[in-house]
Amino acid sequence: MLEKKVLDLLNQELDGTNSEKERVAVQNILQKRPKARKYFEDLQEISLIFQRTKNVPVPSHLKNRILNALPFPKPAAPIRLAPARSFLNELRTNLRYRYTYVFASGAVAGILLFAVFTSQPADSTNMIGTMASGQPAALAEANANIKLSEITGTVTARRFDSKVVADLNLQVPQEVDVILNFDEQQLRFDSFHPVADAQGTLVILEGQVRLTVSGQHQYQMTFTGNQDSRPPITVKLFARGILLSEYKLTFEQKENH
Amino acid sequence: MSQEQDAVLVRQCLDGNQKAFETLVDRYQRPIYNLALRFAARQEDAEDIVQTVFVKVYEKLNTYDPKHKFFSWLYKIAVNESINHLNRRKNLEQFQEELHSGQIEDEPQQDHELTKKIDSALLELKPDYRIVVILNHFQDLTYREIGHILDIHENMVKSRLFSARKKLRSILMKKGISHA
Repeated sequence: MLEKKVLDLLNQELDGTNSEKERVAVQNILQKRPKARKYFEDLQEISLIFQRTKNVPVPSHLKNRILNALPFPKPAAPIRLAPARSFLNELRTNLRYRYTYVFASGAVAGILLFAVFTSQPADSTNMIGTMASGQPAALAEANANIKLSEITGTVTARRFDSKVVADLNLQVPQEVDVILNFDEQQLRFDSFHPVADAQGTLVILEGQVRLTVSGQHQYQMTFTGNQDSRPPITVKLFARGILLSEYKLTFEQKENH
Repeated sequence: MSQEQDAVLVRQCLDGNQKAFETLVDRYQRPIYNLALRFAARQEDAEDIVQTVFVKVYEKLNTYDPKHKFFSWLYKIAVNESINHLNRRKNLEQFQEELHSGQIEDEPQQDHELTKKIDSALLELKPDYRIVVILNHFQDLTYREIGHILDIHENMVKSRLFSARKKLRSILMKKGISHA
């Protein structure tokens, strides 16, 4: 029966992990002890047997099987934008919605009249409606012009105090993923506003917003951030999972006149 | 396959690049398939294991720590899934019978009969011992790499590996399996 120390040395010799001193000891043992020599030869035999059946080729269909099983896109539930027309169709056909619409319209009109007569100044941080009617000057701005073979457009990010407003104007012939990455410690996604009847799928993650679009559309996103920081926003365009282009929006101080 | 390249691919996957994940599948499907095949001894089961492993990797990609080697993390998932699969599978003795009687079909492979005998011999080892043999002999991993994958000390790896070889020696002799 071979001692544990000898068995360990023989196994390590097979694995090539013995030190120089241990290798010399093993050579000595193999020369003087037939049982140790037989044991070592058996270990080598095991290793050779395994080598013969080592690399089994992968079945050709396995990769597709794996890829088809993947849950793409990744986790967060998408927000689907309903086309505006379906609501209008409901108004035309559903009496219940007509009464609700009339009541809601009256309430909104009343609020607007109240706002006009009490002369409340527009909140400089409320971006909706200020685009057309004279907006406060942005403190900093970053732009990207997109000019790919089939995709054109612009991405503009403007900084207002603690808000960042990103305007996307895109023309894409096929479905494209637009991914905005940002430091979630410095910026938080706030709201999303498709312009007119723009459609698409929005996925919101920490530090990332993913918008899937096709056609010609405009979108506006707002973020809330720390007043003194101006973290960059990275914009990436993907088609069918392939990165087409990447832009880094770095804010530059605007001069106030 | 460098660790840096794997980390870049993982980062691209997390950015939404599916092509990057396909590259990882191309790189690692063969060793993972071989590991699963040695453990499960049946192609159909090995394919199930591999598919489950890559789906889990995809879903858990944001938990991967780039400080560690990607393939170690991947192998950990593959080993756990292989063991889980074994636990879910039918009674081992029944499976052994089917294997010997030829009811279980294998794809034509080089040294087909020898492969079946080796798989049968490996199945006689306890799972803890079988996995170190597979990772060392079929995946060429070092004691340290195996220890990291299995969360055990290097010395424990050596102890199990050397004991497994001792047992395999007598199993293979009994079955008349030799290299010649």
